[in-house]
Amino acid sequence: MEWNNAALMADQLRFDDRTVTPATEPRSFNSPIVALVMRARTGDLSAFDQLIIAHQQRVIGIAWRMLGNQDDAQDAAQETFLRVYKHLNGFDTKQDFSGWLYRITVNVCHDLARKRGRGNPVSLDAEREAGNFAEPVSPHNTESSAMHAQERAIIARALATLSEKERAAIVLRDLEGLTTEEVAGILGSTPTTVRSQVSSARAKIKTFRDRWLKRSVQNRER
Amino acid sequence: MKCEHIEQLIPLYVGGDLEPPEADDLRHHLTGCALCRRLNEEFQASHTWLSTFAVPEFDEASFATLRASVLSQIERQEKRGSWIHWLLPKWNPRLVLAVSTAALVAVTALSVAVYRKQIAPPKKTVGNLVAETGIPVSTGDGQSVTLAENRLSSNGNSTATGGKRRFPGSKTPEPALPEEALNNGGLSFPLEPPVTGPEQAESETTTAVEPEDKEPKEMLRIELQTADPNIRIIWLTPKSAPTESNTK
Repeated sequence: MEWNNAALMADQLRFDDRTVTPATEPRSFNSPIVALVMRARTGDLSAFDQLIIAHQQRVIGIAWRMLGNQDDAQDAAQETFLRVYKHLNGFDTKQDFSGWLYRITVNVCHDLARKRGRGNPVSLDAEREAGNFAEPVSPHNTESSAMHAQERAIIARALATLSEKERAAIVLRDLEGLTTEEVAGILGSTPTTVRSQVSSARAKIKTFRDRWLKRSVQNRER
Repeated sequence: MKCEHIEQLIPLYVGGDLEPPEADDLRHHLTGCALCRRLNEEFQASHTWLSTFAVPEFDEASFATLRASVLSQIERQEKRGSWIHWLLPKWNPRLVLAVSTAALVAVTALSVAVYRKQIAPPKKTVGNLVAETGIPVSTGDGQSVTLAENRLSSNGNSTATGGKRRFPGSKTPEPALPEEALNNGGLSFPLEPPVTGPEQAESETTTAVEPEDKEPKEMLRIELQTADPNIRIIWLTPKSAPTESNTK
Protein backbone atom coordinates (compact mmCIF):
# COMPACT_ATOMS: atom_id res chain seq x y z
CA MET A 1 0.00 0.00 0.00
CA GLU A 2 1.61 3.13 -1.20
CA TRP A 3 -0.22 5.47 1.09
CA ASN A 4 0.71 3.86 4.36
CA ASN A 5 3.98 5.65 4.87
CA ALA A 6 2.64 8.91 3.57
CA ALA A 7 -0.26 8.68 5.98
CA LEU A 8 2.03 7.90 8.87
CA MET A 9 4.13 10.88 7.98
CA ALA A 10 1.09 13.08 7.77
CA ASP A 11 0.07 11.78 11.18
CA GLN A 12 3.45 12.72 12.54
CA LEU A 13 3.08 16.17 11.06
CA ARG A 14 -0.26 16.49 12.69
CA PHE A 15 1.22 16.18 16.14
CA ASP A 16 4.51 17.93 15.56
CA ASP A 17 4.29 20.77 13.14
CA ARG A 18 8.02 21.38 13.39
CA THR A 19 8.86 17.96 12.05
CA VAL A 20 10.89 18.42 8.95
CA THR A 21 12.60 15.46 7.46
CA PRO A 22 15.54 16.18 5.23
CA ALA A 23 14.51 16.63 1.68
CA THR A 24 15.47 13.53 -0.20
CA GLU A 25 16.04 13.45 -3.87
CA PRO A 26 13.23 11.59 -5.56
CA ARG A 27 14.16 8.41 -7.30
CA SER A 28 12.10 9.28 -10.27
CA PHE A 29 10.39 12.29 -11.69
CA ASN A 30 7.86 10.24 -13.58
CA SER A 31 4.97 11.94 -11.98
CA PRO A 32 4.36 15.53 -12.97
CA ILE A 33 2.96 15.99 -9.47
CA VAL A 34 6.33 15.11 -7.96
CA ALA A 35 7.99 17.61 -10.25
CA LEU A 36 5.56 20.27 -9.07
CA VAL A 37 6.21 19.31 -5.46
CA MET A 38 9.95 19.67 -5.98
CA ARG A 39 9.52 23.08 -7.54
CA ALA A 40 7.11 24.20 -4.84
CA ARG A 41 9.66 23.18 -2.22
CA THR A 42 12.06 25.72 -3.60
CA GLY A 43 9.45 28.43 -3.11
CA ASP A 44 7.99 28.36 -6.61
CA LEU A 45 4.45 29.52 -5.89
CA SER A 46 3.28 29.05 -9.45
CA ALA A 47 4.12 25.34 -9.11
CA PHE A 48 2.20 25.19 -5.87
CA ASP A 49 -0.70 26.96 -7.58
CA GLN A 50 -0.73 24.19 -10.15
CA LEU A 51 -0.75 21.61 -7.39
CA ILE A 52 -3.79 23.30 -5.90
CA ILE A 53 -5.54 23.38 -9.26
CA ALA A 54 -4.91 19.66 -9.70
CA HIS A 55 -6.45 18.76 -6.35
CA GLN A 56 -8.85 21.52 -5.35
CA GLN A 57 -11.98 19.80 -6.61
CA ARG A 58 -11.28 16.59 -4.71
CA VAL A 59 -10.16 18.34 -1.53
CA ILE A 60 -13.16 20.61 -1.40
CA GLY A 61 -15.44 17.66 -2.19
CA ILE A 62 -14.12 15.61 0.72
CA ALA A 63 -14.36 18.64 2.98
CA TRP A 64 -17.91 19.33 1.88
CA ARG A 65 -18.98 15.75 2.52
CA MET A 66 -17.25 15.71 5.86
CA LEU A 67 -18.52 19.08 7.06
CA GLY A 68 -21.83 19.45 5.24
CA ASN A 69 -21.67 23.05 4.08
CA GLN A 70 -19.86 25.12 1.52
CA ASP A 71 -18.33 27.78 3.75
CA ASP A 72 -16.73 25.27 6.08
CA ALA A 73 -15.59 23.21 3.11
CA GLN A 74 -13.82 26.21 1.62
CA ASP A 75 -12.20 27.08 4.95
CA ALA A 76 -11.05 23.50 5.32
CA ALA A 77 -9.64 23.42 1.80
CA GLN A 78 -7.73 26.63 2.42
CA GLU A 79 -6.27 25.34 5.68
CA THR A 80 -5.41 22.04 4.00
CA PHE A 81 -3.35 23.68 1.28
CA LEU A 82 -1.61 25.92 3.80
CA ARG A 83 -0.61 22.88 5.85
CA VAL A 84 0.50 21.07 2.74
CA TYR A 85 2.80 23.94 1.80
CA LYS A 86 4.13 24.22 5.33
CA HIS A 87 5.06 20.53 5.48
CA LEU A 88 6.02 20.04 1.87
CA ASN A 89 9.62 19.34 2.84
CA GLY A 90 8.42 16.50 5.04
CA PHE A 91 6.65 14.75 2.19
CA ASP A 92 8.47 11.70 0.85
CA THR A 93 8.27 12.00 -2.90
CA LYS A 94 8.41 8.20 -3.21
CA GLN A 95 4.94 8.13 -1.70
CA ASP A 96 1.62 9.04 -3.24
CA PHE A 97 0.92 12.73 -2.96
CA SER A 98 -2.87 12.37 -3.13
CA GLY A 99 -3.00 10.00 -0.16
CA TRP A 100 -0.91 12.38 1.87
CA LEU A 101 -3.09 15.31 0.82
CA TYR A 102 -6.35 13.51 1.68
CA ARG A 103 -4.98 12.56 5.04
CA ILE A 104 -4.30 16.21 5.80
CA THR A 105 -7.74 17.12 4.48
CA VAL A 106 -9.46 14.66 6.82
CA ASN A 107 -7.43 15.92 9.78
CA VAL A 108 -8.27 19.52 8.95
CA CYS A 109 -11.96 18.64 8.70
CA HIS A 110 -11.85 16.92 12.10
CA ASP A 111 -10.13 19.94 13.63
CA LEU A 112 -12.60 22.34 12.08
CA ALA A 113 -15.62 20.26 13.14
CA ARG A 114 -14.34 20.16 16.72
CA LYS A 115 -13.57 23.85 16.68
CA ARG A 116 -17.05 24.71 15.49
CA GLY A 117 -18.77 22.28 17.82
CA ARG A 118 -20.23 20.02 15.19
CA GLY A 119 -20.04 16.98 17.43
CA ASN A 120 -23.77 16.96 18.00
CA PRO A 121 -25.95 16.96 14.96
CA VAL A 122 -28.17 19.95 14.53
CA SER A 123 -31.83 19.44 13.81
CA LEU A 124 -32.67 19.34 10.14
CA ASP A 125 -35.19 22.13 10.52
CA ALA A 126 -32.60 24.37 12.12
CA GLU A 127 -30.20 23.59 9.33
CA ARG A 128 -32.81 24.31 6.74
CA GLU A 129 -33.66 27.60 8.42
CA ALA A 130 -30.00 28.50 8.53
CA GLY A 131 -29.80 27.70 4.85
CA ASN A 132 -26.87 25.39 5.33
CA PHE A 133 -28.13 22.87 2.85
CA ALA A 134 -30.36 24.99 0.72
CA GLU A 135 -29.45 25.45 -2.90
CA PRO A 136 -30.29 28.55 -4.87
CA VAL A 137 -33.37 27.79 -6.92
CA SER A 138 -33.26 29.34 -10.33
CA PRO A 139 -36.33 29.60 -12.54
CA HIS A 140 -35.08 26.50 -14.35
CA ASN A 141 -34.54 24.71 -11.10
CA THR A 142 -37.94 23.42 -10.45
CA GLU A 143 -39.43 21.02 -7.98
CA SER A 144 -36.95 18.24 -8.71
CA SER A 145 -34.04 20.47 -7.83
CA ALA A 146 -35.61 21.45 -4.54
CA MET A 147 -36.28 17.82 -3.76
CA HIS A 148 -32.73 16.97 -4.61
CA ALA A 149 -31.49 19.65 -2.23
CA GLN A 150 -33.71 18.29 0.49
CA GLU A 151 -32.47 14.79 -0.11
CA ARG A 152 -28.91 16.03 0.12
CA ALA A 153 -29.69 17.79 3.36
CA ILE A 154 -31.08 14.59 4.82
CA ILE A 155 -28.02 12.60 3.82
CA ALA A 156 -25.81 15.25 5.36
CA ARG A 157 -27.87 14.94 8.49
CA ALA A 158 -27.43 11.17 8.44
CA LEU A 159 -23.67 11.56 8.09
CA ALA A 160 -23.70 13.98 10.99
CA THR A 161 -24.97 11.23 13.26
CA LEU A 162 -21.79 9.21 12.70
CA SER A 163 -18.66 9.40 14.73
CA GLU A 164 -15.68 11.26 13.28
CA LYS A 165 -13.90 8.09 12.25
CA GLU A 166 -16.98 6.41 10.82
CA ARG A 167 -17.79 9.52 8.80
CA ALA A 168 -14.28 9.75 7.40
CA ALA A 169 -14.26 6.05 6.56
CA ILE A 170 -17.60 6.04 4.76
CA VAL A 171 -16.94 9.30 2.92
CA LEU A 172 -13.66 7.99 1.57
CA ARG A 173 -14.89 4.46 0.91
CA ASP A 174 -18.46 4.91 -0.38
CA LEU A 175 -18.49 8.48 -1.64
CA GLU A 176 -14.94 9.03 -2.84
CA GLY A 177 -14.69 5.45 -4.05
CA LEU A 178 -11.32 4.58 -2.52
CA THR A 179 -10.47 1.01 -1.66
CA THR A 180 -10.51 -0.20 1.94
CA GLU A 181 -6.71 -0.39 1.92
CA GLU A 182 -6.39 3.14 0.60
CA VAL A 183 -8.79 4.42 3.25
CA ALA A 184 -6.83 2.58 5.92
CA GLY A 185 -3.64 4.21 4.67
CA ILE A 186 -5.20 7.67 4.78
CA LEU A 187 -6.74 7.21 8.20
CA GLY A 188 -3.65 5.54 9.61
CA SER A 189 -5.47 2.38 10.63
CA THR A 190 -5.82 -1.19 9.42
CA PRO A 191 -8.17 -2.44 6.69
CA THR A 192 -9.98 -4.54 9.31
CA THR A 193 -10.67 -1.45 11.38
CA VAL A 194 -11.86 0.46 8.34
CA ARG A 195 -14.15 -2.42 7.37
CA SER A 196 -15.64 -2.38 10.83
CA GLN A 197 -16.11 1.39 10.78
CA VAL A 198 -17.70 1.29 7.33
CA SER A 199 -20.02 -1.54 8.34
CA SER A 200 -21.12 0.33 11.45
CA ALA A 201 -21.60 3.55 9.47
CA ARG A 202 -23.73 1.82 6.83
CA ALA A 203 -25.93 0.29 9.50
CA LYS A 204 -26.42 3.66 11.21
CA ILE A 205 -27.24 5.38 7.96
CA LYS A 206 -29.78 2.71 7.12
CA THR A 207 -31.39 3.11 10.54
CA PHE A 208 -31.51 6.88 10.07
CA ARG A 209 -33.06 6.50 6.61
CA ASP A 210 -35.64 4.00 7.84
CA ARG A 211 -36.68 6.38 10.59
CA TRP A 212 -36.87 9.28 8.18
CA LEU A 213 -38.96 7.33 5.68
CA LYS A 214 -41.30 6.22 8.42
CA ARG A 215 -41.75 9.78 9.61
CA SER A 216 -42.33 11.00 6.07
CA VAL A 217 -45.11 8.47 5.61
CA GLN A 218 -46.69 9.50 8.89
CA ASN A 219 -46.54 13.18 7.87
CA ARG A 220 -48.23 12.43 4.58
CA GLU A 221 -51.04 10.53 6.30
CA ARG A 222 -51.81 13.51 8.56
CA MET B 1 -24.41 -19.63 7.97
CA LYS B 2 -26.82 -18.39 10.58
CA CYS B 3 -28.99 -15.31 10.13
CA GLU B 4 -27.24 -13.43 12.97
CA HIS B 5 -23.95 -13.80 11.18
CA ILE B 6 -25.49 -12.83 7.84
CA GLU B 7 -26.95 -9.67 9.36
CA GLN B 8 -23.45 -8.61 10.28
CA LEU B 9 -22.09 -9.35 6.83
CA ILE B 10 -24.79 -7.64 4.78
CA PRO B 11 -23.49 -4.07 5.42
CA LEU B 12 -20.15 -5.18 4.04
CA TYR B 13 -21.69 -7.17 1.20
CA VAL B 14 -23.59 -4.18 -0.18
CA GLY B 15 -20.35 -2.23 -0.53
CA GLY B 16 -18.43 -5.14 -2.01
CA ASP B 17 -16.20 -5.46 1.03
CA LEU B 18 -16.50 -9.21 1.46
CA GLU B 19 -13.99 -11.76 0.25
CA PRO B 20 -15.39 -13.76 -2.72
CA PRO B 21 -15.92 -17.04 -0.79
CA GLU B 22 -17.79 -15.20 1.98
CA ALA B 23 -19.87 -13.32 -0.57
CA ASP B 24 -20.78 -16.62 -2.27
CA ASP B 25 -21.88 -18.15 1.03
CA LEU B 26 -23.99 -15.09 1.76
CA ARG B 27 -25.64 -15.16 -1.67
CA HIS B 28 -26.45 -18.80 -1.15
CA HIS B 29 -28.05 -18.02 2.20
CA LEU B 30 -30.10 -15.18 0.72
CA THR B 31 -31.72 -17.46 -1.81
CA GLY B 32 -33.27 -19.51 0.97
CA CYS B 33 -33.98 -16.82 3.63
CA ALA B 34 -36.65 -14.21 2.94
CA LEU B 35 -35.88 -12.19 6.08
CA CYS B 36 -32.22 -11.79 5.23
CA ARG B 37 -33.12 -11.09 1.61
CA ARG B 38 -35.34 -8.24 2.73
CA LEU B 39 -32.64 -6.86 4.99
CA ASN B 40 -30.20 -7.01 2.11
CA GLU B 41 -32.61 -5.08 -0.11
CA GLU B 42 -32.98 -2.38 2.53
CA PHE B 43 -29.23 -2.05 2.86
CA GLN B 44 -28.89 -1.90 -0.91
CA ALA B 45 -31.48 0.91 -1.06
CA SER B 46 -29.72 2.80 1.72
CA HIS B 47 -26.37 2.38 -0.01
CA THR B 48 -27.78 3.70 -3.28
CA TRP B 49 -29.43 6.57 -1.44
CA LEU B 50 -26.09 7.52 0.15
CA SER B 51 -24.32 7.46 -3.18
CA THR B 52 -26.62 10.22 -4.42
CA PHE B 53 -24.87 12.56 -2.03
CA ALA B 54 -23.16 14.44 -4.81
CA VAL B 55 -20.96 17.40 -4.18
CA PRO B 56 -22.59 20.58 -5.47
CA GLU B 57 -20.93 22.34 -8.34
CA PHE B 58 -18.41 24.91 -7.18
CA ASP B 59 -17.92 27.68 -9.67
CA GLU B 60 -14.51 28.73 -10.91
CA ALA B 61 -14.74 31.99 -8.97
CA SER B 62 -14.80 30.17 -5.63
CA PHE B 63 -11.79 28.09 -6.65
CA ALA B 64 -9.95 31.23 -7.73
CA THR B 65 -10.76 32.86 -4.40
CA LEU B 66 -9.45 29.81 -2.61
CA ARG B 67 -6.16 29.81 -4.51
CA ALA B 68 -5.66 33.54 -4.14
CA SER B 69 -6.28 33.32 -0.43
CA VAL B 70 -3.86 30.40 0.04
CA LEU B 71 -1.09 31.99 -2.00
CA SER B 72 -1.43 35.39 -0.33
CA GLN B 73 -1.21 33.76 3.09
CA ILE B 74 1.87 31.83 2.07
CA GLU B 75 3.51 35.03 0.80
CA ARG B 76 2.70 36.79 4.05
CA GLN B 77 4.15 33.92 6.08
CA GLU B 78 7.28 33.85 3.98
CA LYS B 79 7.80 37.57 4.47
CA ARG B 80 7.50 37.13 8.20
CA GLY B 81 9.80 34.13 8.02
CA SER B 82 12.45 36.05 6.08
CA TRP B 83 12.39 38.81 8.71
CA ILE B 84 13.08 36.22 11.42
CA HIS B 85 15.87 34.73 9.32
CA TRP B 86 17.39 38.18 8.92
CA LEU B 87 17.27 38.64 12.68
CA LEU B 88 18.49 35.13 13.47
CA PRO B 89 20.32 33.83 10.43
CA LYS B 90 21.13 30.50 12.04
CA TRP B 91 17.64 30.08 13.40
CA ASN B 92 17.25 26.57 14.68
CA PRO B 93 14.30 25.86 16.96
CA ARG B 94 16.10 23.02 18.73
CA LEU B 95 19.14 25.15 19.40
CA VAL B 96 16.98 27.95 20.71
CA LEU B 97 15.16 25.51 22.98
CA ALA B 98 18.43 24.11 24.33
CA VAL B 99 19.92 27.54 24.96
CA SER B 100 16.73 28.75 26.67
CA THR B 101 16.65 25.68 28.91
CA ALA B 102 20.31 26.11 29.85
CA ALA B 103 19.76 29.79 30.63
CA LEU B 104 16.73 28.95 32.74
CA VAL B 105 18.66 26.35 34.73
CA ALA B 106 21.55 28.77 35.28
CA VAL B 107 19.25 31.54 36.51
CA THR B 108 17.45 29.12 38.83
CA ALA B 109 20.73 27.86 40.30
CA LEU B 110 21.96 31.41 40.84
CA SER B 111 18.70 32.41 42.53
CA VAL B 112 18.87 29.42 44.86
CA ALA B 113 22.48 30.23 45.78
CA VAL B 114 21.65 33.86 46.54
CA TYR B 115 18.57 32.89 48.50
CA ARG B 116 20.52 30.42 50.61
CA LYS B 117 23.08 33.04 51.51
CA GLN B 118 20.34 35.43 52.53
CA ILE B 119 18.42 33.07 54.75
CA ALA B 120 21.40 31.86 56.74
CA PRO B 121 22.76 34.89 58.64
CA PRO B 122 24.95 34.17 61.67
CA LYS B 123 22.96 34.27 64.83
CA LYS B 124 24.44 35.98 67.76
CA THR B 125 23.38 33.89 70.70
CA VAL B 126 24.42 34.21 74.24
CA GLY B 127 26.04 30.84 73.91
CA ASN B 128 27.98 31.98 70.87
CA LEU B 129 28.89 35.20 72.49
CA VAL B 130 30.22 33.49 75.54
CA ALA B 131 31.97 30.88 73.50
CA GLU B 132 33.62 33.47 71.34
CA THR B 133 34.75 35.66 74.17
CA GLY B 134 35.83 32.85 76.43
CA ILE B 135 34.09 34.40 79.39
CA PRO B 136 33.09 31.94 82.08
CA VAL B 137 29.52 30.79 82.30
CA SER B 138 27.69 29.24 85.13
CA THR B 139 26.52 25.69 84.62
CA GLY B 140 23.86 26.09 87.24
CA ASP B 141 25.46 23.69 89.64
CA GLY B 142 27.81 26.18 91.10
CA GLN B 143 30.66 25.42 88.71
CA SER B 144 31.91 28.08 86.40
CA VAL B 145 33.58 27.12 83.16
CA THR B 146 34.24 28.84 79.91
CA LEU B 147 32.54 27.46 76.85
CA ALA B 148 35.71 27.90 74.92
CA GLU B 149 37.44 25.66 77.35
CA ASN B 150 34.65 23.14 76.97
CA ARG B 151 35.09 23.14 73.23
CA LEU B 152 38.80 22.81 73.62
CA SER B 153 38.43 19.87 75.90
CA SER B 154 35.90 18.14 73.68
CA ASN B 155 37.44 18.79 70.28
CA GLY B 156 40.99 19.37 71.19
CA ASN B 157 41.43 21.86 68.41
CA SER B 158 39.46 24.86 69.50
CA THR B 159 41.01 28.24 69.21
CA ALA B 160 39.61 30.04 72.17
CA THR B 161 40.71 33.57 71.87
CA GLY B 162 39.73 37.05 72.86
CA GLY B 163 36.94 39.16 71.43
CA LYS B 164 38.22 39.74 67.88
CA ARG B 165 37.14 36.46 66.28
CA ARG B 166 34.62 36.24 63.50
CA PHE B 167 31.34 34.46 63.76
CA PRO B 168 31.38 31.33 61.71
CA GLY B 169 30.02 31.98 58.25
CA SER B 170 29.98 35.71 58.73
CA LYS B 171 32.00 38.19 56.81
CA THR B 172 31.49 41.00 59.29
CA PRO B 173 33.64 41.10 62.35
CA GLU B 174 31.89 40.02 65.45
CA PRO B 175 31.01 42.86 67.79
CA ALA B 176 33.48 42.63 70.59
CA LEU B 177 32.46 43.11 74.15
CA PRO B 178 33.58 46.42 75.50
CA GLU B 179 36.82 46.27 77.34
CA GLU B 180 35.07 47.50 80.44
CA ALA B 181 32.69 44.62 80.36
CA LEU B 182 35.48 42.18 79.96
CA ASN B 183 37.65 43.71 82.53
CA ASN B 184 35.11 44.53 85.15
CA GLY B 185 32.83 41.95 86.63
CA GLY B 186 32.84 39.57 83.67
CA LEU B 187 29.81 37.73 82.36
CA SER B 188 28.30 34.80 84.03
CA PHE B 189 25.24 33.37 82.33
CA PRO B 190 23.43 30.19 83.04
CA LEU B 191 24.60 27.68 80.46
CA GLU B 192 22.17 27.65 77.60
CA PRO B 193 20.43 24.36 76.95
CA PRO B 194 21.23 22.86 73.54
CA VAL B 195 19.18 24.40 70.79
CA THR B 196 16.56 21.94 69.66
CA GLY B 197 14.34 24.00 67.40
CA PRO B 198 13.97 27.29 65.64
CA GLU B 199 11.85 28.79 68.41
CA GLN B 200 14.55 28.23 70.95
CA ALA B 201 17.17 29.51 68.64
CA GLU B 202 15.18 32.66 68.10
CA SER B 203 14.61 33.19 71.78
CA GLU B 204 18.32 33.12 72.26
CA THR B 205 18.92 35.84 69.80
CA THR B 206 20.38 38.92 71.34
CA THR B 207 21.37 42.16 69.90
CA ALA B 208 24.45 43.50 71.50
CA VAL B 209 26.10 44.05 74.74
CA GLU B 210 26.36 47.73 75.31
CA PRO B 211 27.80 49.62 78.19
CA GLU B 212 25.89 52.75 78.97
CA ASP B 213 27.80 55.86 79.56
CA LYS B 214 25.16 57.37 81.80
CA GLU B 215 25.55 54.70 84.46
CA PRO B 216 27.58 55.55 87.49
CA LYS B 217 31.16 54.69 86.88
CA GLU B 218 31.22 52.10 89.56
CA MET B 219 28.34 50.07 87.91
CA LEU B 220 28.33 48.35 84.51
CA ARG B 221 25.01 47.92 82.74
CA ILE B 222 24.66 45.24 80.08
CA GLU B 223 21.44 44.88 78.10
CA LEU B 224 20.54 41.86 76.08
CA GLN B 225 17.57 42.08 73.75
CA THR B 226 15.96 38.74 73.02
CA ALA B 227 13.92 37.93 69.92
CA ASP B 228 10.84 38.68 71.93
CA PRO B 229 10.67 42.51 72.09
CA ASN B 230 9.02 42.28 75.51
CA ILE B 231 11.93 40.47 77.06
CA ARG B 232 15.18 42.30 77.66
CA ILE B 233 17.86 41.07 79.96
CA ILE B 234 19.52 43.86 81.91
CA TRP B 235 22.71 43.05 83.71
CA LEU B 236 24.07 45.34 86.40
CA THR B 237 27.40 44.51 87.85
CA PRO B 238 29.82 46.52 89.94
CA LYS B 239 32.94 47.67 88.24
CA SER B 240 35.51 45.80 90.13
CA ALA B 241 39.02 44.85 89.21
CA PRO B 242 39.04 41.91 86.82
CA THR B 243 39.86 38.60 88.28
CA GLU B 244 42.28 36.20 86.65
CA SER B 245 39.61 33.81 85.52
CA ASN B 246 37.56 36.59 83.91
CA THR B 247 40.31 37.88 81.71
CA LYS B 248 41.50 34.58 80.40
